[in-house]
Amino acid sequence: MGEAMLEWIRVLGSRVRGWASRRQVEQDFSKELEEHLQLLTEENLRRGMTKEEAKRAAKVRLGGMTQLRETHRELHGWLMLETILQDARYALRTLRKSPGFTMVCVLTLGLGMGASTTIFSVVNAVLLRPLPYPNHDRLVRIEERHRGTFGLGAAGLDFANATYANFNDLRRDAKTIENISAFREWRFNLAGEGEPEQVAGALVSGEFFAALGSKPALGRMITAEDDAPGGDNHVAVISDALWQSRFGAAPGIVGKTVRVNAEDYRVIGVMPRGFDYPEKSEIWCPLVPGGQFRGNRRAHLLTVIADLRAGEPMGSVQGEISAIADQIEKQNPGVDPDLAIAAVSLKKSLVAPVQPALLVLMFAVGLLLMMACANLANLLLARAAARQKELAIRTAVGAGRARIARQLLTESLVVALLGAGLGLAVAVWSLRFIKALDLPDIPRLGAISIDWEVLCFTVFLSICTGLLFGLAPALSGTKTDLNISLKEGAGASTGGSRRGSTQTLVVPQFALAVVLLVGAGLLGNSFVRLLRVDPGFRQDGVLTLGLFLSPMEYPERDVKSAVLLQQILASVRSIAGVRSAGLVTALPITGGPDTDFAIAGRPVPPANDEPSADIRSVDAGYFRTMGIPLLAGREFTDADNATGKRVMLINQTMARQYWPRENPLGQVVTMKDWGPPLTGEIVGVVGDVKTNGLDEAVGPMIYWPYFQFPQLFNTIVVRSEGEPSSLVPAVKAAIWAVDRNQPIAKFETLEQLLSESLARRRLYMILLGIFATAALLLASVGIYGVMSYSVNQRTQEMGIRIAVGAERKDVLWLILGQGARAALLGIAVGIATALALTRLMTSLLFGVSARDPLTFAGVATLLTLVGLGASFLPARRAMRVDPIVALRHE
Amino acid sequence: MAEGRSEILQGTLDLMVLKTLAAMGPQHGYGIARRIEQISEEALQINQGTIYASLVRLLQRGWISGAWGASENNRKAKYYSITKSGRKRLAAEAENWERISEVIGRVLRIAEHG
Repeated sequence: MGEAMLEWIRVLGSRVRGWASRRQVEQDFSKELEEHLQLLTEENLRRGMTKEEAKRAAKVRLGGMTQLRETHRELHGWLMLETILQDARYALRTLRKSPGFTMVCVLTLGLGMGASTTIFSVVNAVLLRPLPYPNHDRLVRIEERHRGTFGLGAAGLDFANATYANFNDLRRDAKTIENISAFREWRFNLAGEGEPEQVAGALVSGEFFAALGSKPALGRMITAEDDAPGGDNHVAVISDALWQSRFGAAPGIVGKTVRVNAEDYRVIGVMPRGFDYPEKSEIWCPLVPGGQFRGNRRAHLLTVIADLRAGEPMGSVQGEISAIADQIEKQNPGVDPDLAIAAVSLKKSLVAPVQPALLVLMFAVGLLLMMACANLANLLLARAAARQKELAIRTAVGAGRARIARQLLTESLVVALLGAGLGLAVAVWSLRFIKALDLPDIPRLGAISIDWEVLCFTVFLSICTGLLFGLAPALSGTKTDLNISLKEGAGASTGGSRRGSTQTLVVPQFALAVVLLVGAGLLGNSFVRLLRVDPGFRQDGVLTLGLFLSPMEYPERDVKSAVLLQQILASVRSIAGVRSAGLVTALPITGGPDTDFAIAGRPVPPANDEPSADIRSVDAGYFRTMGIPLLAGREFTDADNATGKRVMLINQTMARQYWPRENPLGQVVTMKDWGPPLTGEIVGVVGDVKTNGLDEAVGPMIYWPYFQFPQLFNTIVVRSEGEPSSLVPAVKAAIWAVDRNQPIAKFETLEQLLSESLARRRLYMILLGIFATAALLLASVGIYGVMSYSVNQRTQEMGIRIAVGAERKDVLWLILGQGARAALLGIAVGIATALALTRLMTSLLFGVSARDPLTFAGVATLLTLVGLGASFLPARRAMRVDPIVALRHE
Repeated sequence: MAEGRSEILQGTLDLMVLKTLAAMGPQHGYGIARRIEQISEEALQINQGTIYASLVRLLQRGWISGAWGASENNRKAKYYSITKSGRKRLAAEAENWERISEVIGRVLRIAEHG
């Protein structure tokens, strides 16, 4: 079978190749035959025949030249190709004669195919394609869960990292998983030649690379020995990207020493291109747990991944690690009550947050594709009705049923191919557009490319539709008695029977358009509401930049780091055009650390029920620079330094929540999670700021004076008099004037920060918007096409109506009414469907109900107008029918 | 001409052309036709033109290749030669042919004695 197929393909290939040069081939063949004849003749002459005899005998032995040539041509299969080409040419000519029909069909198919290919390509790249790690199907993430955190917030946020001690217990006891490894996302300051640079990376345990199944492109990976305390821990594996950008892809990089976080590290390996787990990492160093950290069961710092052992189902893994969790709890009573440990597929955990939105989009794609096919079917059927007479004539003059069917099929195919071409263009363009959006928080967006399988599928679908409905006239056309068709003059008499199917196809189209438009409308509405949300700070005119202090050079809570940061702040404040500058450990919107706390004088709740608040360290300039209002008490001053009295500010939500009827000022709070407990007095209340995103509710927040609670990760905020990003070079210079080796991470304005935080929503909105627009176009095109054909067919009827005294106005209303009825019915069906379906997208909405009456009403109005508008043109044509012409036309 | 007979003849002719090219090296159409006639000791008088149908079929399947060259009389002629995959095919077909002819022979003998 396979071989026969191959042979067939080879033959076809040679035929197609020969087709282009067929004149030449035929000439050559003639020459070849001449030569053969000549040789035969000469042979005959040698045998003693006369010249005449020799020639004749030669011809007899060779056979009839004409017939030989015919056979030759047939063998090359050119006759078949010739007919196909002829059909295609004829089809193109027919289609050119009705450009409206052709354009509408091609547009319909192009939009439908293009949009669906685009979405499927995105969904495929983001959701379905495997992670680029060899062990992707076995990778699991081990998550600690606590009663306080589990089930809170959006999907994907309800896990906590593991503590080092728990990780060690797991590594020792778990048998259903292997390569149990941990990592901690980290920042690395690179110094040395060139500008100092901060890159993302991870501190990884010895089995990290083995768990992913990845191999280095150069050198070796980090192993258990590198990660053992007391070993040679100062080794680093770098990414291909970093190797290229910072080290010029030098082949001798392995073994070189680089300055990382103010220490010397030896490069031991380079990972292959594209390896950047976790989160765009560029460098990996051993985790090397220090003494206190090793036994810690409270600091949840590690992300743990592992491979399922071959053949182990997820269920047995869960059973085993749950047992380990119970054991940990028993051995360490009171440390972490209600500890649970769960294993989830890494792939699932990566895509979980975007899954609902992508599924909504897939659904939208399905609808759109259905609309496109319905539209095409509708158009082809309408055209078939209009062509009955033409087909009857062609049958009458002797065209075979098969020949007519083939002609109609060719037409459908040509339309489908033109549509496919447009669809490809649409897909290429929109994918380029989506990639250009460069959304940072959509995983694997860079890997998106046109999904050829999907494109083929959509092309196949449209061809099927084309074939199915394109054949309808051939089937019905040959069924009708051609005498009747010819005599009655198809137009007037067949109009009635067609009206029913017209409506049945327009109604679902409008219904689908309603569903898509309502979806897009709700998303758009949510987006606008989000833009109107007050973030709690003034977003204009502020530049932000990250400073990560190398821990070796600036040990935490060391006076050296305080001095450095104060010098840097002073240097930045002295820049012309800078109004104020401040320091914070984590910016709003992007999330950050939190802590359990206790209020002095109140009963201490059980260990797992302690109140918790977000925690930020800020300097005296922060609130002024951000424009966060002080509501009570005082702000921090420069006197709130390392030696000053321990004080704190809280946000309005915390004040309301814990001191609803009392004055929070003067209250004493102890923060428990970050090192030794830190106790301070509340000296002021500031306004709420959106901590985890514009769409997340604000929780309690505690601010500490920075120099009483310094951190390694810092952000400087700079309020400028003019355009904030114009300050970048001056700020760089100011910082490097203080420390030449201090890298600066990511300059960003607050406006950019806010806009990026909405990037994902913007993508969904744009995608669904594209859909809704396409759906609207398809629906209007559909109703226009159908009404036009209906009017064409009823020209005679209109003529008669006008001749017997109908007002032209009445004719207009007759047609408009017919269109409006179909549209309204579709809208009603669509609204009912949308009411049932939009509930599914509740998690994507913000501040709007899934049944928002305004959105529904707006969509209904819009579609009614579109329906009327699209029917108006054909209706006006009907109104202008000249009765005399219309009657004679028959 | 009945379908069945032409089917057998066609396949047989292809096989003979392949064998001829394998044995004699590059040949033009006339040469191949002559050779087949000679080998069959003129028992098989083919219509020499039919050789070209065979040649096209073999060319399309990649079993032979054709190139223009000079004939014995220094005129342009198209020379055909067998390709590697053609030789493979020939071996397979020849074996197949022998098996079939043996079976047919046996069947015919049974028929005589029976």
